Amino acid sequence: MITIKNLNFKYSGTNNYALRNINLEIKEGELAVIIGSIGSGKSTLAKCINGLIPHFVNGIMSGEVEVAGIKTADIDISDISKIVGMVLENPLTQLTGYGTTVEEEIAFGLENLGLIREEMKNRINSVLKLLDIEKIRYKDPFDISGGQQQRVVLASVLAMKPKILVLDDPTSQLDPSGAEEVFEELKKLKGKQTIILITQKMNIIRELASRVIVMSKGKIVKIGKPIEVLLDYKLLKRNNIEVPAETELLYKMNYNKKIMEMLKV
Amino acid sequence: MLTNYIKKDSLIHKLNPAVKIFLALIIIFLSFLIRETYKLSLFSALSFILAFAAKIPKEFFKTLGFIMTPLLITLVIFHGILNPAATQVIATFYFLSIKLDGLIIGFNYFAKLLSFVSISYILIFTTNPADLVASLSKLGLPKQAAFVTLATIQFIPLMEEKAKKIMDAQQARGLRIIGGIIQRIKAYIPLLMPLILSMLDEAYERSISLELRAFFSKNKRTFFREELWRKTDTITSIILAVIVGGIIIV
Repeated sequence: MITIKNLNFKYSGTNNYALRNINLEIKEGELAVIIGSIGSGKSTLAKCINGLIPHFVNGIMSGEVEVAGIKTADIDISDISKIVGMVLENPLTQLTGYGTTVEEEIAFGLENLGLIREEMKNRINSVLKLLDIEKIRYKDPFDISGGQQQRVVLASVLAMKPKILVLDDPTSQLDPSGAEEVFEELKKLKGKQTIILITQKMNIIRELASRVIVMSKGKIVKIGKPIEVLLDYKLLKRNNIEVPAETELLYKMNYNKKIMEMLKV
Repeated sequence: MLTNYIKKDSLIHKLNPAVKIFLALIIIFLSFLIRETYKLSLFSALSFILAFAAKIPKEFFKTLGFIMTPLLITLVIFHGILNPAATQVIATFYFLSIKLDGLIIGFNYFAKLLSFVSISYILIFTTNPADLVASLSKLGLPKQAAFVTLATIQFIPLMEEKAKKIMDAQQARGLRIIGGIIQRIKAYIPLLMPLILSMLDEAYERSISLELRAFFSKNKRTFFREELWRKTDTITSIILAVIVGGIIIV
């Protein structure tokens, strides 16, 4: 679904490459989680997948990014938006405020795609049902909780029926219950949709991820199964990633190697 | 709600946005063209009546008062005292003399401003922003321009909210905003930099979000909200045309 070959990227006005020699293959239906410390290049990678790089952000890019068989450099960003949907951190800047109700907010992207009204209604009904937010359909999108706002953003993106969904730290601006709401939605979507999730919340990885990609200083340092990454105390510590309490405990008790052998990962 | 739109169930609210846009455009155009103060005042009076018909007199007059009072004071003082063309002195305080013809010019300018500001507020307060943008783009305005119009209307309340937050944060760190007028103006200076920077940052994120929702797509845009031209629209248009025509003639 996503093929990235020898990707390098440098923001204009900076000296260091934000991405260095990235090679990555993501299959259809996968839920890949990208973790890494601040400045590791996670968000930059996400921007490469949905075409914001090279179309919107200035910088020097080399290498290839292919989504659903199409090179992102070759087509317009509005055409990529039909293939790759993206949810960002702050729900407030993602709500366009174009409509005065949740359903109108969701309709905004569909109007831009030039769909007929019947089709818009069908799509809105089905995403509202999928994300279980029919209750707030006629509410003002600026009058609901942060978690609900982020779900509305997710719904607006899903209504455009993207093949790939990229979420760039969608819960960092939310309170724990809001974050929980968003992760619950992702659990529903898992398997139905190719998803790339960037997150700092380690506790959710084991439940959600089919693969974990660890990034540091613009490079991919490890791709592995969730348990493999989560139990690797040294890897996490070395790359300034939050170590889960269990991992730390097991490491201090010298147990994690044994467990890894038992799990044969 | 980020916009100034006030949701009410009234005839004016239900009116097709095109009618309101045309009315506003015509009155704004005429405000610049017409010189007679009484005609300009009649246009304002029409807006006032519409405000009552739209069931929003409280919000309407509050906003109008907030915006127009300082203008009234400055315009009248400026022209009444300082207009060099004015000659008929009616009162003198020390070296300042108030001139009648100056005052009349001041009131005339004020009437001009009042007439187009009032009708603009009627349009903004009673039209759902989505409908407003939809109508504007149907009338041939490019969708980018239509959206910029909407974003401008929306940004003001958003900015106020942000300014308040930054103000609270600054006050928590010991900034004093009480005291004399100079003290207060000074207090607003440390507010500006974070406000402008954060607004720029958000504008960037917003533009990314618009890109991601295919806003710049070359497809012909469609509209989710249905807009119908009803009989009442025709009748109201005729009535409004007669009133505006009448004001021009009398």
